[in-house]
Amino acid sequence: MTNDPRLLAALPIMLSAMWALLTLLRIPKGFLSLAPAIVSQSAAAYLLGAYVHSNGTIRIDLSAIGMPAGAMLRIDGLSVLLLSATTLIVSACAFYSLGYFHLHRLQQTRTLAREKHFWPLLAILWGALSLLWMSHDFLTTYVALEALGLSAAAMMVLSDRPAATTAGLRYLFYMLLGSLCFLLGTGICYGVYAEINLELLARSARPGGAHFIAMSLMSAGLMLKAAIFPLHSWLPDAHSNAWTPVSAVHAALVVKGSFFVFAKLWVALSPEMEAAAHFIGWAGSAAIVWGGLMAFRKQHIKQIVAYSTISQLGYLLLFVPLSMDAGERSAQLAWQGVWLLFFSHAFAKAALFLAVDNLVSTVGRTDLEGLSGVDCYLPLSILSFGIASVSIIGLPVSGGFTAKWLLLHSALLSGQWQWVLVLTIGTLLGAAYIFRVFKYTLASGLRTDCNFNMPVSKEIVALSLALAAVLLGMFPGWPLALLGTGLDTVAP
Amino acid sequence: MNTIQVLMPLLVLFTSLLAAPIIFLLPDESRTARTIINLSAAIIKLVLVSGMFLGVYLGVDFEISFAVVGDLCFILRADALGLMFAGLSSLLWLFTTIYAVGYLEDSSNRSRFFGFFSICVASTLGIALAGNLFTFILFYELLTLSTYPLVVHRGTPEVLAAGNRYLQYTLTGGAVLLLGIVALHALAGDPAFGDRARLAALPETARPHLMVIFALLIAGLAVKSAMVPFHGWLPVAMVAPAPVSALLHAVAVVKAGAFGIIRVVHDVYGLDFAHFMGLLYPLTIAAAVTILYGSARALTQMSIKRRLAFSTVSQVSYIIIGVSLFHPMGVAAGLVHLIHQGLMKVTLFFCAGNYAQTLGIHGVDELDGTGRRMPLTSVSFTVASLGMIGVPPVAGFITKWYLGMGAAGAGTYWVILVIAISGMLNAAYYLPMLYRIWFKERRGDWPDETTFAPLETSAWLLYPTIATALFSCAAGLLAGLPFSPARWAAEIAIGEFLP
Repeated sequence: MTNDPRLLAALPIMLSAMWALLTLLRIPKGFLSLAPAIVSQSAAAYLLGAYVHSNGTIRIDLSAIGMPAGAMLRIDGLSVLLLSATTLIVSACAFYSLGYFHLHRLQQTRTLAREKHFWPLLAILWGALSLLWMSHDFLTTYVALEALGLSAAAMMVLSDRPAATTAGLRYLFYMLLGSLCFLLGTGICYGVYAEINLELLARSARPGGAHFIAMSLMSAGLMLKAAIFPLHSWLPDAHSNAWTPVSAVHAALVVKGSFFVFAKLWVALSPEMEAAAHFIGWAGSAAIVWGGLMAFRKQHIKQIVAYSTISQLGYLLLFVPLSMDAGERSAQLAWQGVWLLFFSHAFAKAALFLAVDNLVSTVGRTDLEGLSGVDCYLPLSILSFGIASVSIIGLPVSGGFTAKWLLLHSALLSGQWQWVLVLTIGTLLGAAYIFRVFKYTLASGLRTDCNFNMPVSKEIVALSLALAAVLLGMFPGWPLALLGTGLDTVAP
Repeated sequence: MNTIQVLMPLLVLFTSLLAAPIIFLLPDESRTARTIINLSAAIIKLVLVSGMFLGVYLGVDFEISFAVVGDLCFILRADALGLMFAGLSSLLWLFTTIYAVGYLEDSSNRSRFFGFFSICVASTLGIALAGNLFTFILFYELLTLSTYPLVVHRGTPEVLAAGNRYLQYTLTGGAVLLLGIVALHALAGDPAFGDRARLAALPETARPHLMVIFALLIAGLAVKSAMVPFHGWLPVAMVAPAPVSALLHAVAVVKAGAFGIIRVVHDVYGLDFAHFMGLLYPLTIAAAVTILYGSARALTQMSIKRRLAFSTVSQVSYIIIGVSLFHPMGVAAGLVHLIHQGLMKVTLFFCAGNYAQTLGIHGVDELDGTGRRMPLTSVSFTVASLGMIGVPPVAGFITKWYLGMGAAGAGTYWVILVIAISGMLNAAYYLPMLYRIWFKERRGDWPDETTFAPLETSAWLLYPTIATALFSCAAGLLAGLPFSPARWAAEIAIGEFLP
């Protein structure tokens, strides 16, 4: 069975579909339902990884099953890494959710009534993510993005807060707008090249007016979905009002899904678009600075974490100019740096959201002043918050640091000094808004009003995710070896 | 290499790194358990470092390295210079831990304090054993992170403001340093410490880049070593508890900066190459300015700890001026002052803490008559002060002697003048304190007295103070013995000039 790549590739998606069905029927419940899903998904990711490791990239022609010509799944080292990270983070957040709902049950909030919708939606989201990481043509990508966006939007409105509903609907609207732009762009692309497969497009792409318009439309749509400045306005409210596990998965993986497509597009279809590449770089820089400044001004800790996401997504865009008009070595460094940042941010941001929820649900307030003195009661959560934020800021030892090292190195090698400055300023801004939080938690203050029912699983999950971000900085060799070079990703 | 040689640097690092999470998780009340873990970790570390001293003396290598990404390596290695710093920090960690246990006995959040205390020492050890600039900056930034909670330990608004200032300076400095290190890496690959030929072998077109990178590296490091004009955080940070100030001033933060400058000058660029490029002279001037400025500012400070803080600004630049003189005696002076200033300054801060904790004394003008009330503390304070002024046989004298010889040997005679003026200024701000302690009569009650009969103060506070004072004397008196700091430093310095 493990010899048939078609089956292996279908496995993550089939497992998600099965789990969605089981959770809809609600047999079995809670941990008994979750554990088999986690185990089987991990096994599927492992089998795929082992196959790709020994046999190289898997390509599956989807036209055989009735899809149009050119539709295909492609599983390379990057896809394997993304699948593994997804398995780890979604599993961690799902496990965390058990404790999260348990706590709400103790507090008898109304959250409970909607818990039953959470699990099937999470399963669909998981499957959509798996499909997205494997897709390599416009059609499959579009399908995966839609499934992802719809399930994510549905999860956001689960929270019974009115603000969450508003933010969720707003997200849905922006997401559909983004899809529309993307679809228009792919339509123009198809009109010009009569091709939907990225591998084939990469070979025939040539600069021109229609090509430029198609790329602009697709990029704009994806940037809207990925909340890239200045198209980010939906994100802070959505992330600070949704249920915490939802925000965590969303910030760690869902917004990044659009970035994944964006990165592939730019590697495949960007001949002679230097000016546009620099424009993207400046948009990223603006995101870094704006997100950092807003995070520094906010009083509510979840909003700080949300704006930090906007700032961090800006870093990812820097790879576009860095890999554009530079030597091979600096392009390679930028490619490695950006994916290392992608993964460490995914782990660190999920950890940050989970740790923040632990703090907030203990003190019962979401503003910074409410956090004074909380570290005596939740040392583990504060520790997780601290470790994760080390990676977010980009201080050693962490994935964020090693990634920024690689990006700095790439910028220096290619002589693009402006990004050196941007990276430095971004790091200092990151330190400013993170340490502002610590200033409050370290302030002296004795608390008597805390809720001490914190399930230990919630603290352990946050800590493990934060530690994963740190380990990624110390031992990035294995993931980076799997990653290959940027051009591999689209090479036939 | 056998396993012990590979594991030794890791073991040294992990004794305190692993102590940290255990201490974090202990409840605040379990004082005995925490103290036992703290002290045994400190003692184990001291024993391990002594073992490495002996090993390096006998020519054994201790090294662990692995590639992090590409040609970028994580290297921990025990060399003679690194061991000096490692020895200093593990010795003073033991005393500071004992002292801190006594000092913070009834404050809150002790587990947090001692946890970060351990991480702080682990990062100092990491800095000492780092084998290249990449490894160095990992621990250098970890030090910033772990000292911040120590500085703001009391959590009052004043302290938090000081913490902000501390972070602004050190993180900006860290960013500049990182930029320099990455730029050097992009230009010359991964220069391990001691691989001095690598930069000199670069083509001449790279020279201007190397000068800019040197400036970036030194500017980044100068923030922590509190060189003018980057010293602003140090006098502000003295609002921290006394053991933290002692740690910051004597072992950890300022020393990390000074040690980094030594590494860059001595082990990355190499003295010959740096001299050839004309990079040393500006450093000498910057250090001279800092020495005079710090001493002059110390004169007018009326808080004991602030006066000591400005004295640190001045004294740490002795290390830098020594290394920047192109002469073996100068280098020896710089290296040995790394140890000597640590021993003397830690004693002074311990004494300041004793006065504050026992009698409630914080200002210079409250010191009258403390000599009779607290004779042992006052003797220690006197010994260390005289050492700072440069009176033989205390350790500080050795430094100034070497420094003078180095300046004369290198032909930069004006440095001798700077040292002489600074010595007079030192006398001018230390001697009045000694005069008040021994010769002025106390009028009225002490501001806030606690009695610890039959001792003058708590034993936890008193014995570490006496011990470090004795060490300051011993380092001066026994300077000629094989393992003395002076002898060790001289051998490193001569090795540099006579390959």
